[in-house]
Amino acid sequence: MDQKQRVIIGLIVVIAIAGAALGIQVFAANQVAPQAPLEENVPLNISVNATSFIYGPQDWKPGLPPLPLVPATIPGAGNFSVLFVDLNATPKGVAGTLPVIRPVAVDYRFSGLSGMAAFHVYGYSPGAHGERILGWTNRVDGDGSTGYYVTGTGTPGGTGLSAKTLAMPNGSVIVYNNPAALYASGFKKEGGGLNAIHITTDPGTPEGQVTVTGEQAGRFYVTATGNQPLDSVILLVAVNQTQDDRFALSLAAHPVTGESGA
Amino acid sequence: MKTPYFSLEEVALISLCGALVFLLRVMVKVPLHIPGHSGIFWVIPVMAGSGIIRKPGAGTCIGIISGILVAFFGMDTLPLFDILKYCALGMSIDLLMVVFAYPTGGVAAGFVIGAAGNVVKMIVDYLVLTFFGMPAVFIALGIGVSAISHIIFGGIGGIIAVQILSRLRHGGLIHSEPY
Repeated sequence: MDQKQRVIIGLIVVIAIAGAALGIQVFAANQVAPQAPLEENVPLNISVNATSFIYGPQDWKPGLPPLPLVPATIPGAGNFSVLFVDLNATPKGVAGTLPVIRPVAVDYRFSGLSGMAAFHVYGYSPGAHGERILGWTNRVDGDGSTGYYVTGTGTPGGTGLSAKTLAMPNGSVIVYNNPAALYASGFKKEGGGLNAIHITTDPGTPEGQVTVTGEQAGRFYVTATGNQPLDSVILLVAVNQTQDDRFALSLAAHPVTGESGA
Repeated sequence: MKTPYFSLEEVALISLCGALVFLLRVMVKVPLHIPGHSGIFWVIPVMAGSGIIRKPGAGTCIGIISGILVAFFGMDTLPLFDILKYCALGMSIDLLMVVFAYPTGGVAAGFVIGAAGNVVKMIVDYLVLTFFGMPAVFIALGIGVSAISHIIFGGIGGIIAVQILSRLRHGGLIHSEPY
């Protein structure tokens, strides 16, 4: 076989690979039905246990580059196990040019928490095929950082949690209360997506703050301060110790009106 | 005493080419936001090194060295598996350079070799992501466009690489049968 014949065969193979890949893409696009969001009128009210944390151990959360799970002001937290929950509610930022802060209230209640729990949020928008693209999250360190951290005094669990590593930076995540849907990290610009969504304990301070508390039950708010077209938000919950069978976390979330803004 | 497969000069060249792939990975940032666009740069040292040494295994060694460097410096999200990706790139280019008898000219051969190397790297990358839990359907939703861009940019890198080899041959720095 001379060189010319090898080149022709090589080009045919390359074109065939491209054609096959396009065919797979078209087939997959036809198979993925448009994914309707969770019905927003149904407030979130769920409970998770120690086996719900399917990611980790890791000390970072999705972002570009990956962001720490705790700020530098909380040293020695170590690695965390992580899970994601769709809050099924959208915080509002602006309407036209008017600021309209309509936060989402998140009520939590721990029992048997050992170590520290961290709460972070992600805003997502719909992708071309109905997948949910995570493009915003709360800043963890530096000016404008927010987050909610709860310390517990429970007994650590005896066995390690089964977990799988989160694929980064554009990997997908499995959300606890919507496991069939596609949620994917969609941070395109390095350092971007950190200024639009926050966690606060005071709806009158939508830019939020970093809160560390020992209260095993309480409320914080998720706020949006821009006019980005958020579809909804998911909550990242992380614990830095193996939890035992007595561990439980109840979460409830609903949009709040009349507490702040116009 | 048994003669080593690679001479000292060839080992040095393999190491330099592997390091060059790593440097290009670190220092050359082209904000094109098209999957596979950086394949232009990575394919060139592997093909050039393989074409200069003209021994099976040279490309594979270049891929392994660049993968180790990228993994060691934690450049990507799954560092240890970078070795697999770059090794796959090196092995595929190695194999095709043998098949095409180490071309030192000819645009088409260079295009095919570079494109194939970049596509193989893409496939290994996706396999690793699937292994770590990314739903395959999510990869499938973008694989067509990604494959085409990997082929184009890898092919361009391959064309550049054979032009480099052609210049080296004309300059008498490497000796080969012209294509």
